This record gives sequence, C-alpha cells and structure tokens, in this order.
Amino acid sequence: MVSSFLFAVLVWGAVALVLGVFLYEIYVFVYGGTSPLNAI
Amino acid sequence: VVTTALALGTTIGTLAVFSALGLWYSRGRITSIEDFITARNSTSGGMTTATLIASGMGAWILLSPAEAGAASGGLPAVIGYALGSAVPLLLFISVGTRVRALIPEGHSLTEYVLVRYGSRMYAYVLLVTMFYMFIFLASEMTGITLALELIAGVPTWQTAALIGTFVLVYTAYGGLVASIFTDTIQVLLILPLLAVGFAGAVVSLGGTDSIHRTVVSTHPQLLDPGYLPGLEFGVYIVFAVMGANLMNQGQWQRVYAASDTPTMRRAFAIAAITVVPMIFLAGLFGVAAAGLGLTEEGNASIAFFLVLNQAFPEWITLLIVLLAVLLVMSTADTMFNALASIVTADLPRLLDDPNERTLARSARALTIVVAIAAVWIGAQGYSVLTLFLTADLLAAATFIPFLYGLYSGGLTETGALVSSVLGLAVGVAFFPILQGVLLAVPGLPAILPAPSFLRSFLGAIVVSGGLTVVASRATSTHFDLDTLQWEICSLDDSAPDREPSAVTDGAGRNTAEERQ
Repeated sequence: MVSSFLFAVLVWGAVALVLGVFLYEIYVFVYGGTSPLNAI
Repeated sequence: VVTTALALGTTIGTLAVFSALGLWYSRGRITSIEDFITARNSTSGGMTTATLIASGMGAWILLSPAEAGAASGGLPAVIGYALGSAVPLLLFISVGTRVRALIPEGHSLTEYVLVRYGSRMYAYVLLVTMFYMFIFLASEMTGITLALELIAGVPTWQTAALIGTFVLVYTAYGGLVASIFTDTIQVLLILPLLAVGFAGAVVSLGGTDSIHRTVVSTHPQLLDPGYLPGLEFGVYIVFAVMGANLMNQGQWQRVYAASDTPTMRRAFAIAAITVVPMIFLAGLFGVAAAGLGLTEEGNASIAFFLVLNQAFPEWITLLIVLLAVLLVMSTADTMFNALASIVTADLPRLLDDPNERTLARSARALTIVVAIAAVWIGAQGYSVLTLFLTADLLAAATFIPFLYGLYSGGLTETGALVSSVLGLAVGVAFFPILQGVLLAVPGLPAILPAPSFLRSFLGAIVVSGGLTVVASRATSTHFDLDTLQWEICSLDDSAPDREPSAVTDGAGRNTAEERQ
C-alpha cells in the first residue's frame, strides 16, 4: 500500500515536474533567443 | 456549472486565436512542398520539444489514463501508462539519429519502406500506419466532443465541426510549419494550465490526504503497487504504445524538422520526461473517481469528467475546457498534416513525375479529405478504444521488422513481411477483442489460447522480433543501406538529381539482393 506521504510526494512531484518543464521551456526561449514569441 | 454558451465561446475564441496565429506565422514561410510536409532542419530545441509534447499529448490524456486508473488497476496501471508513454520517445533518440544519418533527405516512414523492402511491405506498412493515425485522429475528435458534451452539454456535431474547420484552415494553408508554431504556443499554455488546473482539482477534493483516505477506505487495492491487474496493464500498455508511436508519421516529421541531430535527441529526451507527470496526473483522477464511488456503473472511460462534475468550481472546469481544446488542436493539426504528408511523399513514385505545384495541391486536398472524415467520425461519438487497441496490435507486430531494416541489410522483404504477419497471427490468437470472431470459426475454439492483452502484445512482439532476427541471418543476401540516401531525395523541383547507387536499378529495387 502506498502511504499517504508517498502519495502526496507523487502528486505534488508530478505537478512540480510539469511546471519545471514549463519554466525550462521559457528559459530556453528567453536565453536561447529562439522564442516563437519573437515572431509575434 | 459551465453553460453551453460559455464553453462554446471559450472553444471558438481559442480556435480563432490559434488559427489566426498559424495562418500569420506560416505566411511567406511555405515556399516549397518540402516546407509544407517536412520543415527540414528548421526548428530550434525549445520548439522541437514543445511540438513533440503537444502532438503526442492529445485529448486522450483526459480519458484513457483515468480509465486505466479506475478500471484497469489503480496506481500501478497509471504509473505503467505514464512510464510506457515515455518509452517510444526515448527509443526515438536512437532511431531518429539513425534515420537522419541514413536518409538525410527523407520525408516519411513509408518511402523508407518502399525503397528498403519493396511494394508488398510498403502496402502493409502503409495500411498499419494510416489505420493507426486515423484512429488516433478519430479518438481525439471523439474525446473532445465527449468532453464538451459532458462538461457543458455542447452537441457533438457542433464541437467536431468547429474544431475540424478551424484546424483545417491553418493546417491546409501552413502545413507542418503552422502546426509546429501553434504547438509551441499551445504547450506554453498547456503545461501551466495542466499543473494549475490539476493542483486546483486536488485541493478541491480535500488534498492528497483526503483522496488517499477515501481510496483506502473503498478500493485499497488501487493504491497497492503490487496489484496484479494493474501491473499487467502497466506492462502491456508499454508494448501497445511503443509500436504504434514508432510508426507514427508525426514523430518522423519532427525528427527531420529539428535543426540538427543533437537538438532532436535532446528534444525527444525532454519530451519523454515531460509526458510522465502529465499522464500520471490525469490517471490519478481515475483512482480518485473509483475511490469516490463514481465509476460503479461501468463508466470508467469518463472518470476524469465524473470527478470534474462532482465538486469543482467553475473556474477549474473552464480551465479544463481550455486545456482540452488546446490538447486536441495540437494533436489534430499534427495528424492532419502527417496523414497528408505520407501520401504526398509517395506521389512522385506513383504519378508520372508530378511537378511541385501538383504535389502542393495534392497535399492540401488530402488534408481536407482527412479533416472531413475525422469530423464525421468524431460527431458519431463511437467508442474508439477497441479500434485503438487493434491498431496498436497491428503496429506491435510490425515495428521490429520495420525498424530492423534501418540497422541491418540482411532482412529481405519476404522475411520482414512473414515476420510481421506471423507475429500478428500470434497476437490475434490471444487478443481478447477478437476472441468472439475467432470462436465462431469451425475448429478454432479447440486450439485457441485463453485471451490476454499482455500475451497478445508480448506474443506479437516476441514472435515478429525473433523471426526477424532468424530471417536476417538465414539469408546470404544483403541490401546496401547507403542506397536509401540515394533513392530518397528532396521533393523540390530545384533539388539536384542524384546519381542512383551502383547497387540499385534506380527504382528502389534491391538488385544487390537479386544478384546474389
């Protein structure tokens, strides 16, 4: 049985990972100078 | 409760904004048929990562993972689904590198099969890949129509017609360039929407402790990492997803679209990491739905929306509507263009030397045909899970012989075809969905094994893979893999003609094989 603590870690860890990738994408676009937003 | 007018308004607004962006960005950027279907070496690392995430993660993530969590085995099934979805993306790091090195001017997986193996294997792979991609597209349209009907009572035909029309407009005009650009913007919205929307939903359900307590009190097995049905599902879904994704033309297009090979490799790796938490979070709602007793009536396929309708405030529901529309747009445009491109790339071999204008018109006409068919199927509200698993089985039996030809010159067309068909036969024998049909055939009931999805997919892969290795070693013939880069060239009128390889007859035939 997955404990309550591990369950919370899995859920909030997944949320954090999704947000982390989002921030990484923003970082790549801003500092890499390849943002698609530059075209807008 | 979100009203029909509000949901429709949000949908139309989102569709209109992204269609305008797609049209605007691709204006002046589509100068050849190559741009329309390949966008070769044009996409930065960030954009390639984004388009891989967006094109793979469609509205299906709001349906299938939750269903797996509720009905197929709880947490282990969800974790298996999440990790399994990352496997093909990780495999593409190696396969994509090989494809770019071996066929630098390629466009589609079927043109590779035609040159590498011949017309019989080509016809078989064309059937498998077109079937899979069309089912994928149909499931997306069905998923979004179902979602908006459940959330806000929007008639299915209205949703299907709106999404199909708007996506068609910018995809038919801007092709892959428009698809990749809109995918990128969409991912920049999808990721925070998914994180905030799902986190808000967890809080609305009382937090993780409350969800955990509820599930433990009603369905404790769903939180057991060793729960056998969940583990079994988690294993067979890996095999089911793997073959189908490796034969997805949308992924092959993005292998070529990346600016260079290191960029492509990094993008596939990051996309693989990203899809794991996305599917895990979506699947969690199935576990929660089962824990709350919402899936007792056999409606696990809509578990996510059952939880959504239960107790969520309007703003979360509206975020999910927006998320669903973005998810389906980013996948539908990929499939529209992938299906059109696969035929367009083969037209030069089927027609008598068509010019670039003819190819461009054909690609756009094919996009329209695909869109109309997808809208029609989406409006019907069919359950596509059965077709999806059937398409997955076809791909599972085919992808090893299909890919083996990239790495070895020893496998002949007959060897690849026989390996695939026998692998498929074994898979079908175990396939639960076709048991009813097979049992009606005289003589078969006595020899048919017990149905099992795990054995079906595993059998198809092991048999086709094993026979592929045996077939490639049993023959002394050899196909020169360098032939691929000479036979598969740019579709541009301006591209220089290449000299055919010394070991081919210039028509994609394996003369080296025949000589020996």
